[in-house]
Amino acid sequence: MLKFFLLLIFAGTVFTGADAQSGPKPAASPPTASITGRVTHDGRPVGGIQFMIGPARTVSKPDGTFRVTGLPPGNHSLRLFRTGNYIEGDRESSILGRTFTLEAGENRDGVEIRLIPGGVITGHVRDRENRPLTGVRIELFEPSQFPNSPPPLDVGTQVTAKPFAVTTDDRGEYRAFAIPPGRYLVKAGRPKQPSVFHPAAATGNDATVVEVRSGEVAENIDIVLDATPPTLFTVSGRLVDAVTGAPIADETVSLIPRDPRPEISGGRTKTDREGRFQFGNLPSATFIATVQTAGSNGGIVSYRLFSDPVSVNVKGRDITDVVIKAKRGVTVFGKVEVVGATAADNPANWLVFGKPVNQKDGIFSVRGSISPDGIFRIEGLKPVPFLPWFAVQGSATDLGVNIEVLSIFRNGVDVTETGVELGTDPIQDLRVRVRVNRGVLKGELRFENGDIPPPGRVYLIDQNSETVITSAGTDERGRFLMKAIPAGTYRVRAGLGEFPRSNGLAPTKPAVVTIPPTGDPVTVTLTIPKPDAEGNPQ
Amino acid sequence: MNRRLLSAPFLPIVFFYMWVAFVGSASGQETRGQIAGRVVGTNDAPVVGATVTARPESSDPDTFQAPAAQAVTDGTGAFVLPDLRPRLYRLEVRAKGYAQSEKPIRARIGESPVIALTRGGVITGKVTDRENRPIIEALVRVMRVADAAGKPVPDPFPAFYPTVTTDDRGEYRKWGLTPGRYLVWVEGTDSDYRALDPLEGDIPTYYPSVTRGGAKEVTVTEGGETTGIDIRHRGQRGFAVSGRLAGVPGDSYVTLELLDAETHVPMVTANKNPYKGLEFTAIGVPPGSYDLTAVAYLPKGTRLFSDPIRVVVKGRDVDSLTVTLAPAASVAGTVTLAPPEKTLFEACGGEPATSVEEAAVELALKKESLLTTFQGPTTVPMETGAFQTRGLVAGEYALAIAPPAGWYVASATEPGTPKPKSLGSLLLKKGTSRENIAVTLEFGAATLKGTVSNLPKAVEDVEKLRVHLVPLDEAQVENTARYYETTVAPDGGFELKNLAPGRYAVVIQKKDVPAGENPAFPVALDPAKRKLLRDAAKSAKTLELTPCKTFEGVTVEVKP
Repeated sequence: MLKFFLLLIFAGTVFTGADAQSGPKPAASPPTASITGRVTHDGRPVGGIQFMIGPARTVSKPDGTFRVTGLPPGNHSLRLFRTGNYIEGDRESSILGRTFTLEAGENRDGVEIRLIPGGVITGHVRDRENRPLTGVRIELFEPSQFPNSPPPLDVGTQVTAKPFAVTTDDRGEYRAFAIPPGRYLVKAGRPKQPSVFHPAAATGNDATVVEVRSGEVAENIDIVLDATPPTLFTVSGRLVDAVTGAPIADETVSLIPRDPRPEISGGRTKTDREGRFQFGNLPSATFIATVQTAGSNGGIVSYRLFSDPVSVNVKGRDITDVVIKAKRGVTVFGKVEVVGATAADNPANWLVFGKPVNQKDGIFSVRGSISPDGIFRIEGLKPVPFLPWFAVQGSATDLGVNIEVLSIFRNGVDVTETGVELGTDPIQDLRVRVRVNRGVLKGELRFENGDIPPPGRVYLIDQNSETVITSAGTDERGRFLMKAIPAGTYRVRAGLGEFPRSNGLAPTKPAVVTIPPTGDPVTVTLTIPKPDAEGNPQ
Repeated sequence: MNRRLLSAPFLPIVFFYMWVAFVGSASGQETRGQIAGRVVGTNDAPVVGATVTARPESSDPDTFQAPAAQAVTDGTGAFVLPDLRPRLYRLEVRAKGYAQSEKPIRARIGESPVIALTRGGVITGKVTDRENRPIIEALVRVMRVADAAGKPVPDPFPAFYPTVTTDDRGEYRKWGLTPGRYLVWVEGTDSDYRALDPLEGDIPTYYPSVTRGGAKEVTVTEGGETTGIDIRHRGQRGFAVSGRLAGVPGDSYVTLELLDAETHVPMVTANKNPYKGLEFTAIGVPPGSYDLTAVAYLPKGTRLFSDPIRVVVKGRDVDSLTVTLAPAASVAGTVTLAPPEKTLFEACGGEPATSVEEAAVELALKKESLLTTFQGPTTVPMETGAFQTRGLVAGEYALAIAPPAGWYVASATEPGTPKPKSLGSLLLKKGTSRENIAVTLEFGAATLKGTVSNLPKAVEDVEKLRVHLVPLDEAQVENTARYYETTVAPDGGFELKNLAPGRYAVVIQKKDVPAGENPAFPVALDPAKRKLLRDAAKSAKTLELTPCKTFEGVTVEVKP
């Protein structure tokens, strides 16, 4: 089952054959774009590097040059194939990655892709008797910015290495590669046991920092781990109906570690006829006991049965008296009407969700089902005010389609703003009017002197609520593109860097745009003061 | 080839489990108990420091069961899993340097399983491209095709082939492998969205640098390291086979397999992304003829299957296929423990404190299926005795009940089955369900231990032998639950447990299993073969089994 779940998580889009040099087949309309450039390392050309720009796969020639053609207009990100290297701006090594915003028919040239060979950390994990330990998980962290802080502040950000999960083999040996150059703490851990940092430190404060240089191997980064089996405990209790107090049989209860750490795991088990449950083999830690059932829609979140979380503190003893009080979710039926629907706006291809109005009631949406005639059903909603929302199957951004809820009526009463109040009984009479939006906003970010700024981020902000509707990164020419925008009037602001809203840099002056529901693009140019040499606003 | 027919944990009607003891205590009260056993290696040597975990055997294949108990073996290899409630458990054993057990190990409280482990072996090597440059993060798969004695083993579901990825030097090391002969190959992946695979869409390259047909087998010995299994990737682009699924929700998880049309060996597997609608694409397909099958995995063990579609790949991609999935069949019913006869308590060591959750229900398919999941998982009845097995492909099944220790199957019927006749084989059509099967277990089971003499010299001929118990009570001759069948050990020994008391004839027969049929499918479910057994019983040795007793010392001779 675990494998099945992993497959499900990692199943990705299959690339089915864009030509290495010519990219995907040109669309009939509008004209396609191209990108020409070269791959370098320390200024020298590098051949044989495979990467993708948008849907097109390519490889650099021996002189480092490449050319990708047939790209449809729009945003295209850069992705590197597995090589043990990094590309500056590769999506894997930065949250936003490097994006190219291309116009129809544009021929972009002079693009430089800078390669950074990754480093390697290798060593052995052994017990106190110097015996190799097998299957030990290795993780890398940046050193903490707050020295001598208690965990988890004793380490900085975790850094992804390759392979995806670094573990020791039958000789106790591990080898992590494709590591960005830098300084790292190396942590070893096994389930239910305390982790240890290289060479034998209990916390990151006492660990030895490992220096990794581009393309080099840091060897003998060995770790001594206490392999003594830990003392384990059990947690048992009962699942009862929150209203009647009656035991609930044959339902799944979960025990989840409060602090997510790889060495601590809980589990799931079913209750017996008296509603009893038991978890064994638990280390000393704090857990959350809860019941949550999958609805008719399977693994998606559902509140057919749910409970307030019960904190269980396993601290050197068995816990036997946990009581989980289960509440029951509500089912809602309704009908959706599409304003100005076209043949392409068929609800058969839609998804429907219900989400609590108030964040305190939960942040997850419950998914329902919808038929071609617009009749929908959402099962397992918490009995709190909720709002339905709709999406088209697939990525809304890729499809360029947004479904905007215009109004919600229950029994003839407009509940669009307040949300739908839920009690314990099912609801059958919701009427939801929606509009299909294909709004497009594109434009440029410029310094006030007309220079092209480094990559930044553009935000579309609701005029009334001041909430960010969507955002888009700017490319190396300062261009950006947003799709699937609900019709309306918005403010647009932008800033530099990956997190301009939090990095303190001066944002642009806001521009106001009105987006129609059609796909007719609205264009805007934003200007930003050019920082001085030290990055301060001028 | 008996693809997968042997790989799943078939449960021949009675001889799969080890029944040792039942728990004697007051009836009606839940009695907790322990499973105390041993873990041994080669020559019965104790395996020290092995971790043994007991999980409740799940009735719901989609629910991961938390461990009920865990123990570490001591200096004699012994372990004790304490404080367990009566039900069926699955034991997982992990020991450094040892391979994982090939078959699921199941036990109940009061039992003393002896779990034999084999030291794992290692395969190492390097993967390079045509220019001899290392390929980094290449996915290497290994598949065991024969055991240590060279006997072919069936291939498991492809998703469970052991895998390992190459490091920055192109090197790989796969450890903990069960001794035997392996195929080793490199294939592209479409599963890691974080880093694109340059081999994606290429035809798999087998060791040393060939396609499947020319693959060289790699021998793994117990505790040994097989080095230098270097693979030079051929870099041949494969073709794509694509289309659309029908009859299934767009957000389903679906696996598709392209099986060689002749050998039924799976050549390429594809997974449909649940978030990408109904389109599917399998890439890296070599030229050839295939049977395309699909299985959809829905919640609560629900499965949908497709009929195989013949696909011929020759010089170009194949697209616009439509693969229609239809609901799987299911079987449901109730297992009941009949109130035990008080008169038996003295002979049987006391009153039993058995839970119906200690029983197990399996459905053994008679003929192989091209579909990936061809039989249901082990189903454990709930406390009420109700059981349901979903996700069954169409076909002929044997209902196989494994009763708790001390109990036997008295009858297995459906409404309308004349008593005391029990069910024959179950013919399940696509999407049908049989929902009212009633299984009654009675207390006081007997055991039979014996020996077969005049054994054939060839091991494969011994493997074909079956010892049958044929009921002699006229009232039971049509009760299929009273027919028992077991294999013969290489030394001629055999053992049958969970037997109904009564008079039986002991018949030995050679069982010729046609290609593609399950050798564990009971002979007696076929009315014609049942009659042949009764005819043979007229001149066979007879015996009387009494409640809770072990009948030992019987010898049956193989007639030339």
